[in-house]
Amino acid sequence: MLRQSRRIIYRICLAFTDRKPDNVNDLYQDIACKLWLGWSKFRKESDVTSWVYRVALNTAVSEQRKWRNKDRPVFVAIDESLCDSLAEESADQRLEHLYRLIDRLSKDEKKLIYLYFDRLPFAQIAVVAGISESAAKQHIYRIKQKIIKLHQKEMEN
Amino acid sequence: METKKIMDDPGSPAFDEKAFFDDLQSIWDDHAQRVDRIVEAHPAESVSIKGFTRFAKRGYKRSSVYIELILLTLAAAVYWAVIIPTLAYTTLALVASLIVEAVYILLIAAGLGGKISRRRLAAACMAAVFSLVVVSCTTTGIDGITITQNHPGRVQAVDNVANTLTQL
Repeated sequence: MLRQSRRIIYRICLAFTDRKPDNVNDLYQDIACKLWLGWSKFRKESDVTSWVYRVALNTAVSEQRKWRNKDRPVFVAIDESLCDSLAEESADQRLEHLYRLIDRLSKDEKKLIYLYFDRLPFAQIAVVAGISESAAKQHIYRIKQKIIKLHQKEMEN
Repeated sequence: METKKIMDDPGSPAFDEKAFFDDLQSIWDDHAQRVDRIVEAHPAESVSIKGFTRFAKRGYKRSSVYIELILLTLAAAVYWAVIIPTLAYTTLALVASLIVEAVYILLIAAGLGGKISRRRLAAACMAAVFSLVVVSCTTTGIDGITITQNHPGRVQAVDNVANTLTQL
């Protein structure tokens, strides 16, 4: 399950951290731990991908533990060069602009717009967020309007 | 993707909302694809079941609170034992010392956990109450008579605070 979901988890780690390799690694370990602990309780009411999204996003927006190097648990032995490559890949001006806009949203808004940009259908967004499909559409619409306003403010400054 | 589109002023009539989000989406898609390629290029990480088990036994984000609570209680007890007999002769001094202790406990909580959370604050408050009970019992048991004789104001101050709290 973890291996199948690693692309999803890494993308979430990049979107919900400052893209520094250490922080990406920390969040990956946190998410891996939550998934591992939650796997036995997973009731298979939704598909595995939706469940992974839900757990990973909830972990990403919750208070994150800052591990000191000696305390950092090693659930998943991550290749350091992978985190470095991902950090380099994220250092793009256009992407930073997008992340800057998203970072200014609330936690719940961030989760929803992340799922929207990740091209999940509204039905699946609703399952992951635990809301109805119509509510998901409404929320996404409002978040998009907010992003436009944030972009406008940024342009004015 | 044209950067110009993104930089269009949303206030201008030329601003195209759909084009704006199409641009953001294309940036996101490009990034996601590149991330996926990088991740796929690296071999899958090995999962340490031992690491999981050890950590799960220790209690994820839970047991450390109890350790903090014990340490805070001890620290607060030391504070009460040292400060109260010398400082708290009046109600005002007792209230002042309570405030000082709150700051002291916050500093310890921050030092222990690195970050003050609601859970740590709750633990700190519990520690303050426990320590007060512990010290009160200890001093009464060991040299309560001496303290009462030497500093009768201390007992009066505690009574005053207790009465005020009861009235509240």
